[in-house]
Amino acid sequence: MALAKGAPLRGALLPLRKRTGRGWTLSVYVLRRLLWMIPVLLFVIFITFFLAHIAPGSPWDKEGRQLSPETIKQLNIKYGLDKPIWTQFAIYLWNVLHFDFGNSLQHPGQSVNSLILESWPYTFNLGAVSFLVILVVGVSLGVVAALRQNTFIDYVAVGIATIGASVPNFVVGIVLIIILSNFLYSFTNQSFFLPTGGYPQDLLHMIMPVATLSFLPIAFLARLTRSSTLDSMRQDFVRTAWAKGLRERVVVIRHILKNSLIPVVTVAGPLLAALITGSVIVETVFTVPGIGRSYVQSIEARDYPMILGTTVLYAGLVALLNLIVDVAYVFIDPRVRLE
Amino acid sequence: MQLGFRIRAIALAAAALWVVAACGGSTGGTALASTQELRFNLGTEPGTLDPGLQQWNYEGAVGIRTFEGLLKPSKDLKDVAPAAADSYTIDSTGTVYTFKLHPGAKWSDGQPVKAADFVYAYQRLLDPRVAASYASYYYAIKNAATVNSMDPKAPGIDAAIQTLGLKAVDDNTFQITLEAPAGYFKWVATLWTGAPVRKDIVEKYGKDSSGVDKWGIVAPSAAQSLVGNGQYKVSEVVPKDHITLVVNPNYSGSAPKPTITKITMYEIDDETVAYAKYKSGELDFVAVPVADTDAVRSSAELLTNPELTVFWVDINVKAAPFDNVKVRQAFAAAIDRDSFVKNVLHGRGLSAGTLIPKGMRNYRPDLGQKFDASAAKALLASSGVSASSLNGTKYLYNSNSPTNKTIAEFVQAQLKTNLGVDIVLDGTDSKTVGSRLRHQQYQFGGPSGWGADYPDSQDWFDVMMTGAGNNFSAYASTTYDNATTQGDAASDNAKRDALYETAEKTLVGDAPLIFLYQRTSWWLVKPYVKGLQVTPIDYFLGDFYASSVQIAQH
Repeated sequence: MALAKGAPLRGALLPLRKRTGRGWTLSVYVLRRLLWMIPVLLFVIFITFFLAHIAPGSPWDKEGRQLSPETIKQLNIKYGLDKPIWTQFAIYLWNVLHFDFGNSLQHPGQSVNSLILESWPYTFNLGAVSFLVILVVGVSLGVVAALRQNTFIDYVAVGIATIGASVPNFVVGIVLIIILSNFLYSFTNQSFFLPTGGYPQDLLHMIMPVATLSFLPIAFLARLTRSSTLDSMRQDFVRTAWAKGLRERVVVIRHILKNSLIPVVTVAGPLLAALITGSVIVETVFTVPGIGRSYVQSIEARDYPMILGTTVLYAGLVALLNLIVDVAYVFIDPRVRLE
Repeated sequence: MQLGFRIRAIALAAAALWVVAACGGSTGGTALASTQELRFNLGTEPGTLDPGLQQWNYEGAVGIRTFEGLLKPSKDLKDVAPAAADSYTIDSTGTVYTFKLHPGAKWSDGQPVKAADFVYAYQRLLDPRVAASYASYYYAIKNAATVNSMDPKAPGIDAAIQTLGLKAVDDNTFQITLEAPAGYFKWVATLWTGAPVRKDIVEKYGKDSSGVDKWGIVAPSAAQSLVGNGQYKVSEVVPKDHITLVVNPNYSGSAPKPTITKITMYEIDDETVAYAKYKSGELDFVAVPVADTDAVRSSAELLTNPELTVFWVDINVKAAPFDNVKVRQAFAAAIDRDSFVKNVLHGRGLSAGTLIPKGMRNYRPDLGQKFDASAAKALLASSGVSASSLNGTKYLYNSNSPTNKTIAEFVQAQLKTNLGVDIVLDGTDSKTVGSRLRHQQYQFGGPSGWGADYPDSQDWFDVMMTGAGNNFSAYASTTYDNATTQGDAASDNAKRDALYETAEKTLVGDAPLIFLYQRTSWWLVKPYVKGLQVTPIDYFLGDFYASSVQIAQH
């Protein structure tokens, strides 16, 4: 593509946007969406509560040695499981209103709130770092591939994206352990060992879990960015921009990227929600003491309060991040108007 | 193995197995490493650090190092040995046990250990509001069953607790009065769940909204709140990652001062991940995953430990076709246990035909169920039930456990080959299996099993008593119940042996269980770990005699 030279008429052709009343509309919109989250969360709690209780087995059932009937009775009374299910549901809702998600059944003496607060930071850090890596690498890869379409760089980027989209997480994780940890360990004559664990959570310990967690989303984001960039590049306004003689940097950043990133923003919200609520597989392979692992353990243990607490957290985050994405549209895409 | 219950095992030939490191030889002249740290994998995060509420092997591993009960098993497992109590006496009626506590013993905060701390701990165990998992083990104590069965909301629990047969005669003398003579009770006193607990500490940290004491929670605060009387104390808790113990500087009990100053216990739930960490030097000993059995068979680091753990297939004796004893006997005779141990377990176990495992006093292989295909066919023929009518019989198992799945497939193949019966496998998740077994919503399935809490037959025969919580077969036999009850009560060994023989014979003959195998655990131990004393009733290696372990220079 030929590079357009010459000084642009900066700003002269940009429309003057009318901003009066926009702040008010936005606040009303956000408030309405926040209020909508209440019935959504209630519905999530309702479904999860009854699904968890319908699942066969109780928190006190074991496959091996059983507790004595007296102990089971005492535990049911202690945790209110002896009450009718609708009473339990009502009590639970009442407590949730006070941000009390109850006490864990697997960890006597510990509240769901404290357990989530304990393990979530690990998952959050891992997810946040991965999110940044995914955005930076995925978007760059996609843009470069689109700008240099059908060149070597494009093929490499598309190739990585295809592998990333088709290889599952646990394979990536184990391959990384073999290559980065075991191979490096013997290669450096057993003097350097890249940790395979998730604790303590410093940058060195995060390399492998972040790489594993990022692999698939990078591939997905790169392909998405590539196709939307190619799409924007063929738009009339881009042709106009080139015709005006704008420099490539300006055309790419202001006109192509800004438009091609709209679909990226759409997926970024749910992606961030998924990342910061944890990946069971990655947390297991790299023994990260995060919330993903604890979620699966609580399901296996029929730890009802933990299952509910984690699900509500997850649902709340997804709803909140989707709201943030919708608001972000307004700033990115002038065509979007909040009703 | 999927069955997560506490494991205690006894040595072959009832002799304690002394393993002086994988490299062998004396530890006398070994140069010690500057850091005396031992690292191993618990597999799962303990639910609690409060010994009274603990129930699993991965909880007991912490409990037994941070607390000390009255007694512990002797090295040869033939009798009990002193722990928090130096000695004990039984009165002539066989119902009053008087324990003399070790003088000068201290808590990790420096306070003296008193008999009142034991009284409080035992009262707490039996308090229905506490809902302790191991409460029923202490039902031999006077009024214990009555008090523990009270409605937790009933008034008068506090008064009822004072009627328990527990008494602090003086600061150093703790007396337990039993309901009736119980020859096995000294073994109950070896359980770590009966370790002393400090009332002021428990009350200081308060209760949560469900009424659970918070002093023993698995959280970083445990480094301060968990005051114990064991050789080690908790120094760090990183939830879902590891628990670190350091030597308790105030310990002044009967055990010698340990060489290992720091123990790090990881909570890696995937055994292959743990195995990889052992290989890369991050753990000092590790359980061998089944898939790696053949690779380590001739390793110098291999340590095999025969456990007191038996697995069997449960049969629901209440419903057709298994309400017919001949059908049950035919099924029990149709399983080739030797082939099972060789081909399915890769040799990691022994075939079992009886409830009581090899290594225990009442082990009687001569009475056991035996594989005999022609006898099985004859039994089925005499049962009046045709093989074809048994087609479609459902075998319930946990399909998430690879081991249980292989066992299910093995049973299916054996019944097809040896009896001509086509059974159907009914696989589901662990909790559902547990619930259906408990409510007899199955035909046959498993495996279930039992791991000894202590090496006494009472712990085993009580399992299959009429109405017992782990009697998934709904087996009910007056002959068996009488023999067991009398055997439990008797204190004379010869008398007990005869009664337990009757119990074993009755159980094997009635075949509410198809016995399968006794498990042997396989470990890899780094060559620099010296002086490890493994009595096979350990949960993890070196549980009961931790003082002698050393880390050699490497």
